[in-house]
Amino acid sequence: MIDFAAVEQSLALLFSSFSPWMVVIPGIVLGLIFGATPGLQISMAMAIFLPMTMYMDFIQAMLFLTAIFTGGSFGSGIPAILMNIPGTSSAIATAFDGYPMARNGQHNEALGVALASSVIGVLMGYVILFIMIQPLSVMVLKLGPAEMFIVILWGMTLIASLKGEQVLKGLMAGFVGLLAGTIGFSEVGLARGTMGQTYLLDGIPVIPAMMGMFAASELFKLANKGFIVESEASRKVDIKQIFGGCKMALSHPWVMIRGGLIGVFVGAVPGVGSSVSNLLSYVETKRRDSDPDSFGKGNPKGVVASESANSTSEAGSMATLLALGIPGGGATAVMLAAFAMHNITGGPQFIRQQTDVVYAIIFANFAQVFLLVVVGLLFIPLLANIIKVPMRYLIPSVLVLAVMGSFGLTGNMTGPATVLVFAVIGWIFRHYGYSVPAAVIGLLLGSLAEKSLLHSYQISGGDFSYLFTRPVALGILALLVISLFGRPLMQRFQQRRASTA
Amino acid sequence: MSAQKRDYGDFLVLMALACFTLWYLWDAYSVSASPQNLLLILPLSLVVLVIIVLELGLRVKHRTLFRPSDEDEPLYKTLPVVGLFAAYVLSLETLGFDIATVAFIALFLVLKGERNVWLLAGFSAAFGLGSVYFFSQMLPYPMTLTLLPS
Repeated sequence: MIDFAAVEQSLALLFSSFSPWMVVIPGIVLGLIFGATPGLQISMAMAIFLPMTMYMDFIQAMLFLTAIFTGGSFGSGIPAILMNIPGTSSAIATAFDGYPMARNGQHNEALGVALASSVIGVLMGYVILFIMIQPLSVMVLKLGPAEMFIVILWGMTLIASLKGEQVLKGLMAGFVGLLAGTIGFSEVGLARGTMGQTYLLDGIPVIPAMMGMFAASELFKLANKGFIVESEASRKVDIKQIFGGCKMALSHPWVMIRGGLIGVFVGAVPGVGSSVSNLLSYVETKRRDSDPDSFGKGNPKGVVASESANSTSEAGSMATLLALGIPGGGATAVMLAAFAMHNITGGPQFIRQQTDVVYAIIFANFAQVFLLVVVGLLFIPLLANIIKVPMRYLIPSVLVLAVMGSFGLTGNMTGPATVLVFAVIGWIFRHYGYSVPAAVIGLLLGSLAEKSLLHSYQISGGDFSYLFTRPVALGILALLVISLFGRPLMQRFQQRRASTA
Repeated sequence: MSAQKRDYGDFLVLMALACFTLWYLWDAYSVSASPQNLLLILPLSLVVLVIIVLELGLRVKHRTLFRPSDEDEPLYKTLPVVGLFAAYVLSLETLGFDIATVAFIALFLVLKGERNVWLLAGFSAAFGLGSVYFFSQMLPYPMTLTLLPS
């Protein structure tokens, strides 16, 4: 499973000169800034700085890009906690409890929880990658479109039913989001729901829509408040409390391990990755908790679950990239471009012939984790000052950043217009108790769900019994059914037993 | 006891979701009725419509078709902010990103009670022009600018 000769060579590659390490801290800082700025994506940072890697050797280029990835995965949690704006889609679930913690005056603890979970998540992910890279690559190959579709449906249904008392509204929002996510050109080249508008041919721009529904609509709701945290004493940034938050995260090791495992395996599925893993981990943690009602109200376990999963997803998507040469998402797609720039092709042959390089990338990430602790702790107090700003200054500033960021994503007025439309939809949804996260996730996964279903249909020739030849798909389907109906059925069974006793 | 005001908004949102689903299904069907085109859209639309009917049925059963209006946080209180944001987005191309952003921040501050003229003018100019300049330099796309160099 582990090639020890390659381990030795990889250490020599990393430590024979200092030059590979010179790019790590700048990479982490860039990742933190881009991750923490709403609208600026990690993949955008990597794409902007990709040309610089032309002047680096392959190891140095990989260290630089993975450092941006590592910094960004934690950075995106900062605005999710302080402003309820997930910097990227991988931090959506971080906002569920991180933001209520901030509103309860526990912003320092929430940031500490996120930092510790991210750091341990990245570490855990790369340890698993180190041990499992070869078996994992074989496993990923077995996941076909049918499995992908069921994973999406599972995640979607779980998110939609998060608000226990309003399940129907949650499902409605999620499924309408899924429908809206299929707007534009389909896989077979048919344009639906575009109303003749050319800018909708590629579908609704998801990230601007997410910014509108999450950020702008929440800011509208807070427009009549003085501060994010009303109590003045609670607005202080305290490094001791941040450390307290780190300890808080460590007191939930099982949540972290579960999040880490979900992150690695879901992160390894191309196209799904950290956007789904953080949500799945959150939902599973809530479902298994003795007090599920405390989630969404500032339970630190929610932040641990999300951050550990999205951080380990990095290792999962790296596994797919290294072993199969398939990018798991935007960030690994940029890395694939860096591979091409250095005339390297990922895949089983790459792993076999350049195991030392693969191990060097993994070991470098172990070191990045410790650097992230230092750089993260230096940056948190700077970024956490946001909550000291009165809302009348914060709201227009964040709205401006969202509009600029959305313009940056689309390159034209489609982005800002999408933010506006979805801000209004999100504002109305929030007011009437429809699940905004479910609608956003639906929008995010709509086209992928349709593509997976279509590919399954084409492979099976429309024969439904094809599903019975896919044991992994059946297993995931069973999990879906159990997680949806297991708890209510158990409760009913226990009630019946209690009444007969 | 005075009769409580009714909020028709919740019911209207439900109807809007039903209308969107029906329209989208019709639009997709009119493009092509092939299974490849409707594979996801048809069953999903039917599921959404069933859920909407179920929700309506439950509301009729519990006599909660129209919920009482929320006196604490009525929607109309936030309308000026939403309107100002809409005006900002729609004026970006006409006024230029720089002027529109500065004007949006200044008007928002006035709307929310900032009366210190220096602070108002200073913050809106500094943040507005600073952020627009940063993005105009960072992004590879041209931005419509009136005051700042493009």
